[in-house]
Amino acid sequence: MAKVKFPKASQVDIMLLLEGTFPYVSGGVSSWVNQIVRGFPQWRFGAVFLGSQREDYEEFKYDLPDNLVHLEEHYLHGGQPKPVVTPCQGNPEGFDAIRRLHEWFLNHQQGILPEEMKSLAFYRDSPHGVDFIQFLHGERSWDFIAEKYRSRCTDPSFVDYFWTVRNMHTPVWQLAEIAANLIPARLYHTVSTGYAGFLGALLHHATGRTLLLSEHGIYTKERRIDILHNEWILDRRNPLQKDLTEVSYYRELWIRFFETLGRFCYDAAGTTISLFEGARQREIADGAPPERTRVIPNGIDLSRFSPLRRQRPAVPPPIIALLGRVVPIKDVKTFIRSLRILSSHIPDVQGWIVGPTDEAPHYAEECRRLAESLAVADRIFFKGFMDPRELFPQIGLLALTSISEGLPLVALEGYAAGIPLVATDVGSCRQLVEGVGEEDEALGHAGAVVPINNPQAVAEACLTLLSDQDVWQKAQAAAVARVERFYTQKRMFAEYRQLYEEGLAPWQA
Amino acid sequence: MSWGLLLVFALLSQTAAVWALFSPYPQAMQLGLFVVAHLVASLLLSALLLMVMPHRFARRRTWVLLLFVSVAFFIPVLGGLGLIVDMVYFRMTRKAIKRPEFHSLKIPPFLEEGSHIAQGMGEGGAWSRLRTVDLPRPQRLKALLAVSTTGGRKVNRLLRLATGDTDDEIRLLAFNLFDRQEKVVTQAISQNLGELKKVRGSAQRAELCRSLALSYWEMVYNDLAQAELQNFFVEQSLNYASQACELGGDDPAMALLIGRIHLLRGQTDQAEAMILKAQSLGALPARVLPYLAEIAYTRRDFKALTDYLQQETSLKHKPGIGPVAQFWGVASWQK
Repeated sequence: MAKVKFPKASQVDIMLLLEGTFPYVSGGVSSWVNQIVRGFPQWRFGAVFLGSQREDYEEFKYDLPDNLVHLEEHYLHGGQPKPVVTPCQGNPEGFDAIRRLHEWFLNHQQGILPEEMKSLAFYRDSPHGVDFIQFLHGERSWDFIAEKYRSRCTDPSFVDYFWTVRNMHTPVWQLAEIAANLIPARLYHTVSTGYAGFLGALLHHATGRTLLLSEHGIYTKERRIDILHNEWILDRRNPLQKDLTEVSYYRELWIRFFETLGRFCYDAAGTTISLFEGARQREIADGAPPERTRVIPNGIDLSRFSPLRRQRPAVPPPIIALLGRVVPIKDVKTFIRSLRILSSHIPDVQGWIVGPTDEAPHYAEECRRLAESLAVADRIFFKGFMDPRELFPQIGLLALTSISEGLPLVALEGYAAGIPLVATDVGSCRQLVEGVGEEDEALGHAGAVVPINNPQAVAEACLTLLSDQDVWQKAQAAAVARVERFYTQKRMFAEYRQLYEEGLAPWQA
Repeated sequence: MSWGLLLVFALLSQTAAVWALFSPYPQAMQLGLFVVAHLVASLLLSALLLMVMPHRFARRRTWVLLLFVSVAFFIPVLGGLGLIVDMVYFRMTRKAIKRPEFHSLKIPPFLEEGSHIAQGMGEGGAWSRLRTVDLPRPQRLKALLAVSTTGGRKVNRLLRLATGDTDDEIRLLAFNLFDRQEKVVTQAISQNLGELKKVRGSAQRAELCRSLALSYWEMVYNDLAQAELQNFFVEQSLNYASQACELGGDDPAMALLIGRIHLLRGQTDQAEAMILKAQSLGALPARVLPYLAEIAYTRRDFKALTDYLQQETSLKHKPGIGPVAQFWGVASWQK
């Protein structure tokens, strides 16, 4: 796909705030964004793409919809030019506010977030705020960092602490700058908390316009997991200083930082939307006010997939597809291991891994090697990108071995084409397979739910479905009935239309 | 009192001893004064030399001190001079090394101010915390982190248990820790398989097959695979161990591994034959005897079991097998 020129407009109806997704990264969230923009042609959309650094992203993975009239991109760790070194003292009031904010970090009580911090002017040129130059070069900034290091940090290296604090907080001022220069919009919609959510909160406080938050995965939870496993976060404590049961100070610091960004966003969002009830409860636990939360499940365009049912074979083909990006969170390795087990029972079984391998190339390479070491390299096919409509008529089952999911669109698309699903018990997968509520459960099982990291269970579930035609047919029927009843695009659009109309109403031109 | 002052006293005493010999007093008094002053000088010099000598040279300090005193006392001039020369030597060389003794080091900075170092927890503590679902998440995460630095089959079982937890974060953390353990072995297998495709010489091939056999076995031994997948790894391990023996000749480690695989499968006769072969090829008794004892146990041959465990007394003190050897390794229980 050729690189598309960025559309520019002077104002939009709805501004989407996107971190690491559409249009550069393919996947569930990006597809959903694409779907939403195309679903509301009556409104003019804009989008702000936030990424880590430019070289992490190649080209657009989607054709931009016609009603996406404005797009800009910003990179938060891209080595932007820093202001010239300017010695200064720093505003005492500004640093007092920061001090109070840090107390808020520790207590996490709602309602006491310093009001100054919500104001865009605080980060830019307010005489009582702390602008970027003061943060970088102010003596009070240095004193504050040194004081916090002495009183709280357990790591012996001040240099590491200093740079961790600098790198962690620099995007906050960048986001304030982005917010200040962004074209006007009548409604803001972020699809995650984190940096995009913080930007949304700043924009909401600066303009008074409604902010909607739709969380597909729980951003804070995902960052927590990343941080606990990242090896670039140093821990210079020696064995005498280290308590093995403690998370290192820097990891805690990063986790608290993202939790705080999340609370800032939950506090500002007019409505926080999650895909299923479990996620809503998690958001409430993380600080979302319960009365402003609601569940809107994903929905799909049935007409795109239902004709494929006629092309499906009468007996299950021994082909199982894992449709998704080849990244660790999808746990492709468990899928490969399950193929090893299945191959002893179904000699001609094949595993198709359908999705891009360029997001985590090391992991993709590990998967290939694993297939070799398990002697199933001749049965595992890395197909890259494939149009689901071309894929679905050829396969017997869809498998999702993920360790974390929201409400996977691929499962719904597969259901619409009549394909049963074997999925791990994460996110809303159990709800998708077994149903939730009396009416839904009465439809039967549209496949099987298995524990994570359990190739034996995956293999056994696939074997049952592929070897018993009756079970397979019933699962197909349940899949079709469930998606048609509960997960249609029409239903999802109706709920979003209502939210958009409510948010846009006070600002009708 | 400083080292230098004591040296001055020692030299003054020695001078007094020499002066006493030429003093105008009666001969008996001269002798008495000399003996006392010379003895004081000898004691002081000996003590001073002992002080500057590295500890490793003077472990039995009383005897060493007596030796120095005797040398200084009974060889009046040369003995004392010798001690002084030694003193100078040790003072200079130790100064040149500038190596502080361990006990003289101060506590590193920040250690005193650092966080409170809490007691860690063993596998038992971690299991009990992880099984208690009502426990707050931070405490359960601590339990996982506590065991994550160790590894081994028990820890892997615990991590697998935690991957089925109802809490997302516990589950994901456990998964990642488990994956990290597994990845190390898989990488080794993958690398060896890649090299095996390239090499031609039988010695090199034997070595690679040996590594592969051990790596596949590692997956089994560390409980990184279960059920049918585990059977596959056992099969692969046996296959590569056999190839290693064919290509590289008899190897006690491979014979023992094949024996253990047979033992895992319940094929005791084949297991015994291979383990005895490993023993005849030179495998250490402490490595083979526990398996032979296990085979004897499965056959209910308790006398043989005792005999095996008595053959190697060190088994009683080894972790794991130690309590077993202590119980079964005494003949008295049979009475």
